[in-house]
Amino acid sequence: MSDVIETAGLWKVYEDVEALQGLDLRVPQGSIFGFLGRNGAGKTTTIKVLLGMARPTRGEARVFGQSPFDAQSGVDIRRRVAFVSDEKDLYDYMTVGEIIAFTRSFYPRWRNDLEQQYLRKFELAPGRVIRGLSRGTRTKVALLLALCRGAELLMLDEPTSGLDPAMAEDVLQSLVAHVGREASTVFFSSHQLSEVEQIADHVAIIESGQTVVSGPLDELRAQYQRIELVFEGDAPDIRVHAPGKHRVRRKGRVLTVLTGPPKGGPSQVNAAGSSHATAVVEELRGYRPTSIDVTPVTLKDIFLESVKTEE
Amino acid sequence: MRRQAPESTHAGFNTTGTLTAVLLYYISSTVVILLKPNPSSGVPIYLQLMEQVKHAIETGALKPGEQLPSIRPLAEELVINPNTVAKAYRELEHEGVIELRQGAGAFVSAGAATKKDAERLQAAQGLVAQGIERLRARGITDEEIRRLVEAELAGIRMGGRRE
Repeated sequence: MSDVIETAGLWKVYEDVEALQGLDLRVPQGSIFGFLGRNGAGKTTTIKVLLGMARPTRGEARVFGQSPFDAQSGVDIRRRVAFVSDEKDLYDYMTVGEIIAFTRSFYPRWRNDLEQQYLRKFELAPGRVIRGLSRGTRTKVALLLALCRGAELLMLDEPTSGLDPAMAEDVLQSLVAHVGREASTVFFSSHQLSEVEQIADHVAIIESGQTVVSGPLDELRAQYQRIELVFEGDAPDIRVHAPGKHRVRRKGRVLTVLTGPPKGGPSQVNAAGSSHATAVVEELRGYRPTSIDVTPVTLKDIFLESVKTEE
Repeated sequence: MRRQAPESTHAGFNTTGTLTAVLLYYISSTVVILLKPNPSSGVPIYLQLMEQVKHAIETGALKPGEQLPSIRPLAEELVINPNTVAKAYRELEHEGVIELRQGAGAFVSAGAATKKDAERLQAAQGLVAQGIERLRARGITDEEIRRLVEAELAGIRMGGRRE
């Protein structure tokens, strides 16, 4: 699988803010890629660089293997990429039908069949003026415009923010359908971790302009485990020596260890790491707890663990 | 729906009647058998999907030789990644539960029913191993575990509560 997006050591410095500090990112073709991070982590800056809207201070950014800052390849990239911004900025004075006709005129590969399909599915009335539309309906219009262009890469900045659950599900479904329909890729930022878990097969979590976690979601999940131990008396104050990054919490007789891959190790996950929880369990057994339970973690657990500042 | 039908069905199927029947089959099987996975359970979605298919075969909702929904319509129906469905199907094929036929789709293996027993035992073995580990962690000796299991099988409840 080739990578449609690739950045290496990407830096972006604005005045005195270091928005990106050596960001590494690889987005495989055909994936639905969840791009995660707290507000201010550098997600929007990354997207701007990839779209050629902000020049990096140093480092490499490639989309379809080309630089967004070369005049010729920049045009090619913008033709093959559809972007749905967080603001869903549309021409307010146009009607839904007008903005569709307007956008269609720029794209020879426009898909009339999809236009009809999504007008029905999203229940959009062509006569409505954009200005009067709810946030959810605006999102659907913006999404329709992006989906019908026949773009190979769809980039979306928080596509479901502010949508009710039914609308959010419609949006996710259209993304899933898009990836299935052609060999296209979806790259989206989101704070809705359960949605990311639902449709993404790859994720990256960034913090302070750096990638802290990235890889196939299933492999990431296999690397993190929560181990809960119960003791006869108060839980002992322990340090885990087995390799990996471990967060230990004590509360009365209960000790919880969240175990993950080594910190500072390669951010790309390899498939072999799943057994390291076993080593931790083995070590913890030495403290003779009355019970040990190992439970899987969610993306939310991984996220909170990855972006938390050191205590 | 009309656009994707020819790709997702079999090469030789060209009469409208057959095509409609196949589509109806997809729709009904998807709705009846497979439920939306829970993305936040911590269990990877492909594993949840594999479990659902196996369960459907065990209960007889899916029978040997029957076709499973093809990847794209199922991914859309469940609102999950098509790659995740493909992964679940690959793993199920690896386990011998289903067969992937080039260009035709996924079918429940003829041997799925007979393999079921071996697989059930394998899964049960895992549960037993987990149970024993937990008991050992509580300081219960192997001899005590053996006695407890035998007592349980004999229908004698040893005082204390059951989980």
